[in-house]
Amino acid sequence: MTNVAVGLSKDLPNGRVMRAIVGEQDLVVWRSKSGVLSAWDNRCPHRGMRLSHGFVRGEALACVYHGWHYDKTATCRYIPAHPELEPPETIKAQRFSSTEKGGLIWVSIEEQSTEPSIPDNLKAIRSISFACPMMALKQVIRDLDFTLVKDDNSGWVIQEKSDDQWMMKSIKANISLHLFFQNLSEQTCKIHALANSDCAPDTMKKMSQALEHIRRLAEKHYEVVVS
Amino acid sequence: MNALDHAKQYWYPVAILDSIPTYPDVKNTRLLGMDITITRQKDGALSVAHNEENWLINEVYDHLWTSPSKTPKPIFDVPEAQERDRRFVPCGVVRVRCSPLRAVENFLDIAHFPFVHTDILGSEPHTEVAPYSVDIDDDKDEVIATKVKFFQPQAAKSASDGIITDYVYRVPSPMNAILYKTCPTRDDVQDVIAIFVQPIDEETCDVWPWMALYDDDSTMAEMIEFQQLIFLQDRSILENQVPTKLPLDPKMEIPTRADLTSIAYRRWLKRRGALYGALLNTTDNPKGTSNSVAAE
Repeated sequence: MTNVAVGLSKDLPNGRVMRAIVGEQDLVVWRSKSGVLSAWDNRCPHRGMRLSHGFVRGEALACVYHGWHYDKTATCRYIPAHPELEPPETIKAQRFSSTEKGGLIWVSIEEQSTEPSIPDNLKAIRSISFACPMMALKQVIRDLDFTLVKDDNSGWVIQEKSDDQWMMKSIKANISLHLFFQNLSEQTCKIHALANSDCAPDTMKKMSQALEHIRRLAEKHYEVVVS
Repeated sequence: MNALDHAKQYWYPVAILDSIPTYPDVKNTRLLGMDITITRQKDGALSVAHNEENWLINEVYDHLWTSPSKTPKPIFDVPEAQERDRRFVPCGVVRVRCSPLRAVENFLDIAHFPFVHTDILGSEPHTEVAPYSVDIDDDKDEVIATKVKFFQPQAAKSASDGIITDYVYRVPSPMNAILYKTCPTRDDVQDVIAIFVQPIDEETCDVWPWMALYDDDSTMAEMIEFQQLIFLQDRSILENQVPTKLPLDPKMEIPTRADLTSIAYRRWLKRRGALYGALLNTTDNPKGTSNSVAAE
């Protein structure tokens, strides 16, 4: 689990903040006004407030509780209660490495991280959340009836390239669906889905609908298993 | 004495006196992790029971109070409750998934006003917290903050313009706090606002705000609505602080001069062993240690 995809680049415009989970690590992921991406421990060192509730001011992320501003190095630069004070350099949030590749935002919480492996010629379909364990979701996908995507159940293959990266491919129809799994908790997970860049708009739409169908199947299947 | 035993020595609010159901209905609630039942007898007398055992009760400040102890510490005094020309406003209850101590600490904080209670209790650029004083009153064993001043766009329901509001804060027991603030309509008196906190358990509380105001114009509903709005804004903060319990190790959360009341409150809790809802050591919560470097 070096680099984990936590969202689509297009879903985090400049000046916006989101929450992400990698393993046990709660993260704030945000983009400054000029577009600089950061991923930090989701906790303001002042009073422990989740920074994902904060707001972007120019090149800084401000905590919503007391407005403490942190620059892109995660160092506190401004404390509104003491406007004249230059905060000590030691007031910092914990940083993690983040990068963007293939239309996805990647975060690594390990010290050594390798470049995410993802083809360059993809375009994002959507991110989708599932209220079921990742294991259950994967099983539902393996058992899938592919007429959902194209009226042709033949020729579909699933390549499980790694634990969190799958590719579903129809040789005949020349369609590839790239799935990046993100585990959120024992009960929840996400898929970030992408298609080849030459994929037709109506096929993209069908794949998005298919993902929605998979979500209903997986959640229903899991409900049955649990009860 | 462990944290729970320490907490059992105090009185806690469990209901507004006027809203306790009539016989034979009862109200069930929880206190310090224990189920309790509040009953109004046929003759109107109130009782609180846990596992068939009746607990002591106290009817004061418009609330019903109870304690698991047979010899609880005396309930704190709010002399203003005797001033009959004030309006006494029990504001209802707000359930918050946080430590009762986090709820009290937030009540003592002014620096969040411009960001959490934007355009009501504070607004940018008026964010500066001027120096103020904090003491421990050794006679009463209370935390007292005085000379607290803050610019407020709408300090109360009765305020029409922004004013510099003066505050005094008292923490008479670990889960209760009282503030005295400038009355927008009169120079000679101060409004009183308190929060009485019912610890459901160490990570959940019911907050009972109570006010004793000089405001002859606003309706009861308006005053309650104003205070409920403020507390709902606070709840969005309180349920997103990590860890849920209040850390007493100064390395875990970095204070500044504006946090003097919080620093005094945390030390006072630690010194008296009021640890119900608190984290004493960072090792209690490994996730909370990530900022220790920053505090050195």
